[in-house]
Amino acid sequence: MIDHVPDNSAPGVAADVWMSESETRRFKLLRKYCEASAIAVIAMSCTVVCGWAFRVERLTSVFPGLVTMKVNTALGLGFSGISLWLQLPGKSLSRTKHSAHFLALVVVLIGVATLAEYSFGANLGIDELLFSDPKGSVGTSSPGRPAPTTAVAFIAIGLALMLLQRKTRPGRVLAQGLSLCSGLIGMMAITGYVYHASVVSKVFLYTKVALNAAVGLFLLGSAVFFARPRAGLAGDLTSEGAGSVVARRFLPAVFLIPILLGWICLRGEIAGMYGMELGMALHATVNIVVFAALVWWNARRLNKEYEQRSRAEIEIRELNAALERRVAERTRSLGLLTERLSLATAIARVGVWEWDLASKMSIWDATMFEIYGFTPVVPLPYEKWAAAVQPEDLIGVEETLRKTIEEKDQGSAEFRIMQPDGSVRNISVIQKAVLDDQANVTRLIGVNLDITERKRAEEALAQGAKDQIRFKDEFLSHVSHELRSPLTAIKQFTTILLGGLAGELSAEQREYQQIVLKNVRQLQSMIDDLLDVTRAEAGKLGVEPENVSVGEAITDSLNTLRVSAGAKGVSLECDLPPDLPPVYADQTRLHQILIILLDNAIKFTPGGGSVRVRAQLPEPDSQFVLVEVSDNGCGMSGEASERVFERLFQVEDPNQASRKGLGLGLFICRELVTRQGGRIWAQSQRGEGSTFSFTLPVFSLSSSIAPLLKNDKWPTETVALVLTEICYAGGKPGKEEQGEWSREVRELVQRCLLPNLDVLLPKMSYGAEGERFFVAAFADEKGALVLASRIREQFEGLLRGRRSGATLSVTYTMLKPFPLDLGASMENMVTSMATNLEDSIKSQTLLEASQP
Amino acid sequence: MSNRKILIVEDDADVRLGYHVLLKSNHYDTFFAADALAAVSEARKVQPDLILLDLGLPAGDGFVVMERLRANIQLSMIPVIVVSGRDLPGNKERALRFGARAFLQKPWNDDELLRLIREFTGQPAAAAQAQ
Repeated sequence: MIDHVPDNSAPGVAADVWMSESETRRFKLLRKYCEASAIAVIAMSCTVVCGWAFRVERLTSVFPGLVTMKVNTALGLGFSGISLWLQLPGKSLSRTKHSAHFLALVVVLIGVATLAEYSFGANLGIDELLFSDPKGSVGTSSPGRPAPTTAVAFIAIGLALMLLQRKTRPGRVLAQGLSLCSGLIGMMAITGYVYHASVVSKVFLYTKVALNAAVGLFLLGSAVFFARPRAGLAGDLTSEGAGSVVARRFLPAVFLIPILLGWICLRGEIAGMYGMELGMALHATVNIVVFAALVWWNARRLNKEYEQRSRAEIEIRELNAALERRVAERTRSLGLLTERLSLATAIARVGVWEWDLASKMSIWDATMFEIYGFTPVVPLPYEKWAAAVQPEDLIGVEETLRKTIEEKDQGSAEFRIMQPDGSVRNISVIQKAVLDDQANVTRLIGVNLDITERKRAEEALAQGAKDQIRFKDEFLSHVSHELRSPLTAIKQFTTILLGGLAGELSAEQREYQQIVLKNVRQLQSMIDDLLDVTRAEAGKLGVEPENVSVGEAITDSLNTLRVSAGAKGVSLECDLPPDLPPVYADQTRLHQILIILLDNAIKFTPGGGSVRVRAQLPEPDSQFVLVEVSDNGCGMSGEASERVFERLFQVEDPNQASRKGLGLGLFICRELVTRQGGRIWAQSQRGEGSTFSFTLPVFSLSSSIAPLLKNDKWPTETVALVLTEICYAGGKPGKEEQGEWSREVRELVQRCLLPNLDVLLPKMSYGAEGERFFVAAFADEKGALVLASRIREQFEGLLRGRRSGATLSVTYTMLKPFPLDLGASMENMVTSMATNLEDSIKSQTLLEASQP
Repeated sequence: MSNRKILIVEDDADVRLGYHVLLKSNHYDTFFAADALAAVSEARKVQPDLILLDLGLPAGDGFVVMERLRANIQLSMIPVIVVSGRDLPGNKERALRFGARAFLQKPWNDDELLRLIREFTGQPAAAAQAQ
């Protein structure tokens, strides 16, 4: 592992090897040490060379009287230093590799040559090649010749430097072993100096190692040893392992303590404090004590560390176990959830899809493919999906997709697809935009639901409901017709009998026939009610509002019921103010409402009681006329008076003599009043009688004609109010004939108008001897003239076919011109025109009234 | 002055008889048709002063009868009173548009029917009373 670390990468810089902080620091320090050592050695060798060159002995021997460092030693050290520098990690090696090797080789050669000289007693002339060494230099056997140990050290260091590039473990170990040799040689020499072991040196006739050379060798040896700090033997010291830690703690002591103790013991011995034997014993004992203490201290530290580590390990193990448990739990619940979800989507036939906006590809789940009838493909191109959607639906779905993306929200749509086999399915889609970190929509995720069955059921249901309603309408219409025919016959013959057409009846027979007739009438009104309710439910209860006099309607209704009220002994009273304004209502329907209310009132009032009808304007300028029908009959509870307008609601009748109806009358009343823009309510107290009140809007010409006037383009700026008045010859005809005239003239006028432009206004009032029709014609004066003459011509034709006579007069008034484009809104224009028309009509009517 | 002729178009025999009794006693001559086809041929044959027309008829309804009558120049002037039991919304308006002079709902009021007949046959009330 360590062997594969690239050599040219600086320790601590290598990014591909993880290192702790302390390790990084350590390697940095070692590198600094190597660099510093190389520089120191190079500097030392330069100094020595200079010392030789300028004969300054201080420079070559450090202390006067000590052995000088020889020139070759200086060169060897210098070359080794340079070679080491070049080979230190982090230097560009490829270019300098050969010079480093060459320098190392030179160092080896110096060592070999020097050794050879010693071995063979020869002088190869290399010792004083550069500078001469004075004879008899301190501790020097042959002038200028380096010490033999130095030579050995050079061979070792040179080889070590040459092997430094080897990346195999044996190469590394060899290199480091060799460097250790040279370091130890240097160290031994230093120790010798410390102990003043000059004697030792003099035993042999060899040159002594100079102090600076010894230091240089030591530095070089250790630097080369640590040049590859992670590899080989050095690796055992520098790693994070416990062994390395212990080694690092011990080594300095191992180096220093024996030397120090030895020195102290030696000093004692020399001072004569004890003999050599005792000195040795002391030395050994103190050594043992110091190392034992060191070992004990180390053991203690290791134990403490081990304790901490095992505690941490236990904690980690527990944490790990907890983590694993949680992961397992989470995985299990996720699995369950996924299973549940996929089961649910499969059962509900919910297809899940995901659409990537950039690639326009979708990922579908199995249900999606099932819904579309596709064979599963992942991913699925957008076009394939779009082709399955019915073309007329595609635009709508794409629109909602676009909207979802734009609004970064969610959306839904319904569409139809065609499966490959041609069957069409209804699909409901819900989609949600998925945002990235920058809040951009990258994907859409959604579900598809096959709602074909639901759609079909809904359609069938709707059709069924429609069919049912139609069937009911048809049924009721048919039944009413079929019921009416026999009823007609019964009524016919009863009246025939009562009319004496089949011979005179006895008083008793006459009375019985009256009873038959009364029941026929009841049956008839029930059938009418039934039909009205059917129409009310279908929203077809026809109401044609016009200008109606409430007073007249009340008088008519009272007249209709006077006979039956009289028969029961109930008196009818009426309270009508003379100046009651007309209402905007359907005349027939108003009559119907009044009959129902009056009939009810009479029914629930005992003989001798009274029914009272009152009409009034609640406030002077109220928009509604209030009509009240009150009786002093049995009354009803508060709850009943609220529910009385519900369909089929029946009040329990204490007066059992009168027959219950269908319970539809008041329901019809409410429908009719509401439809005409009014309100109906009841107030009652048990035993105190009841009051039924309803309101109807006051007739306002402007508000009733305003909706008719709306038109995008009027051709002129003038409006003509055209009045067509018909006067019957020989006084007011019967109601039926009057109605017929009215209808025919109305149709006639309508025929003469410009379609979609001129407006025939609703009926305003019944004239005494005739009737009036107002037209708002969007014409100028000439156009109004043409219209008037056209109406007159048409009337001539109408008159020819009639037996009873009438005369017609057509007049017109031009209204104030209105601005066509004043920026005024349509509403404002229409309102002002309607008011204008109303004023004009009122002034004409007043004019008529003032000249009788 | 001879009696006015009234053609009664009605599929219910009882109702026809009822008309007959009522109208006979009011000095009208009655003629009958039970379906739409007979109605037009009878009208052509009898040339009545007035027609009482039911809307629900076999072989075409009352509207068909009115259409045929209007197509014939001689028959188009005969006043028609529609007497209907069929109560569909808009029937009255439709009948009037088709040329009926009045619309009565079954069961009708005898007085009103007689008044309308007098009016459309051009008899003043007093004259009818005198007869």
